[in-house]
Amino acid sequence: MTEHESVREMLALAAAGVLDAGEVRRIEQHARMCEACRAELEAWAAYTQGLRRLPQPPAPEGLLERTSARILQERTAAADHRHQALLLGALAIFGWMSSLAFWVLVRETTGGVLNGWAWWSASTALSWATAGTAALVLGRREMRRFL
Amino acid sequence: MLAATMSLEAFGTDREIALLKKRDPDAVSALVGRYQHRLYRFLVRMVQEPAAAEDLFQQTWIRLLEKIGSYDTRRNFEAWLFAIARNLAIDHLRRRRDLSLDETDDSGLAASERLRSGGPNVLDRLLDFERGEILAAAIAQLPVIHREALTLRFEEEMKLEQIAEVAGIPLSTVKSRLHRALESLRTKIEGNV
Amino acid sequence: MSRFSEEMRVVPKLAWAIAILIYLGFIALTWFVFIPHDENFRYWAPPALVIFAGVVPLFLSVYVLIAGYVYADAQRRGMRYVLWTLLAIFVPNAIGIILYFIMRDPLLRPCPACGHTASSGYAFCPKCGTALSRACPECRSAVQPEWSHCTKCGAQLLQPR
Repeated sequence: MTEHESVREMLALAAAGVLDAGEVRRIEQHARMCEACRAELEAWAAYTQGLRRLPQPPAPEGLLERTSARILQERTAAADHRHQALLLGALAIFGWMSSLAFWVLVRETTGGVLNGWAWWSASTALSWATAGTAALVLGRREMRRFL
Repeated sequence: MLAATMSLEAFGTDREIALLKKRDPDAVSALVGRYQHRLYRFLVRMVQEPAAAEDLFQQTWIRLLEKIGSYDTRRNFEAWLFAIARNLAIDHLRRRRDLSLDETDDSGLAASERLRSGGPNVLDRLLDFERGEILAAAIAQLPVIHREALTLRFEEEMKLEQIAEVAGIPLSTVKSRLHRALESLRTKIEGNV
Repeated sequence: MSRFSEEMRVVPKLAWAIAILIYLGFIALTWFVFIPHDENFRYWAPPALVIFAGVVPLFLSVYVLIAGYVYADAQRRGMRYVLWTLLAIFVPNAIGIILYFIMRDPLLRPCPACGHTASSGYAFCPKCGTALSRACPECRSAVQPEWSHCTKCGAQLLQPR
């Protein structure tokens, strides 16, 4: 590749202003002697100038307000979702703890007559059955909305 | 002098980022206001539909607020912002058209046809008032990665390094992409040179 | 946590009274009846006994408070509050309560014109017809602010000004 050809390859990027100092100097040196490359560089410069001055798309009226409203709405929805998850997690823990506490109380109030273990397994089985039925009735769509 | 103003700017942004991380509503609105024209213009250039651009504009800020917690303040904020917008725009185009991103569309053909039939005095006509329109019509026919390179370089006036960060590609790729974008833009307007 | 204390105010006074009575009653019961009569507690250290007597009845009274909350909250949301309260009390392991929190309807908002309570999903007040939220221009159903098309009839929605 001759110097002329390789400089010519670089002219577009030179007009775009992205070449380093060494490359720019090389082009300048060559363009001083080469009429064709000078014209070509000017042609590219016309394009890059045009690209800098394209007609601007006007930002739609009320863009800021609509964006702020949507940000607020999304953040409220996200906060609600977080609260709901936190609440359900806390309730699940509470459920287990309270079932243990009830087991103790039942055992104590019946003086050990009603076996605590029987109570605990019965209540656990019953609640799992309820939860399973509820999940089936609600359907997957309703559950997915929250989980 | 230049260094002083730049560090002052960086300081302002740092403080703003701190406010943003606390999701201060005033800081958010101020930032949206500051970038609204540039970001909207960028999205219009990317997706070429005002309605979609507005939706993506809003999504960009929501995504930004989701990710601000993990934002590294040493990174260039603008490049980060435009990268978020860019990724949303690319996703949108993938979903919308179900086409490969290198494909072109013909919506802007008419203007360049008109230009080509206008005779040999093409460069003179480029200086016409209509110049911007003709260029814009030709740009609209370019693939999105070329449109992106052109608008980031010439309208956002980003350095190659910043463009690389926005597009998530190596520096050498940015350079060759910009080169190819300019070449095919000129080909579209002048025919084969 | 201001949101939490706000919600606490929903719990009826009666529920508070019952909860406190149950708590104090069961502490007394545990301390004076259960612990002296159960051989299992013989080797427990005194602090452990105090914690046991204080904590175990706490769950019972919190259960009562939550049931009270479900009662009042379901009522203000226009749901079947008796049914939900019974579920909350009798389905064990707090499953009834968890179900309630998953399934509860959104809060009712009073109509700004006539004060009639309306679900937040309504576009117009059922009593006086005042517009409550953004509505589709074609089919008049309620639409979210950021939608560009109606989900009922597919009509294009104008950008709100």
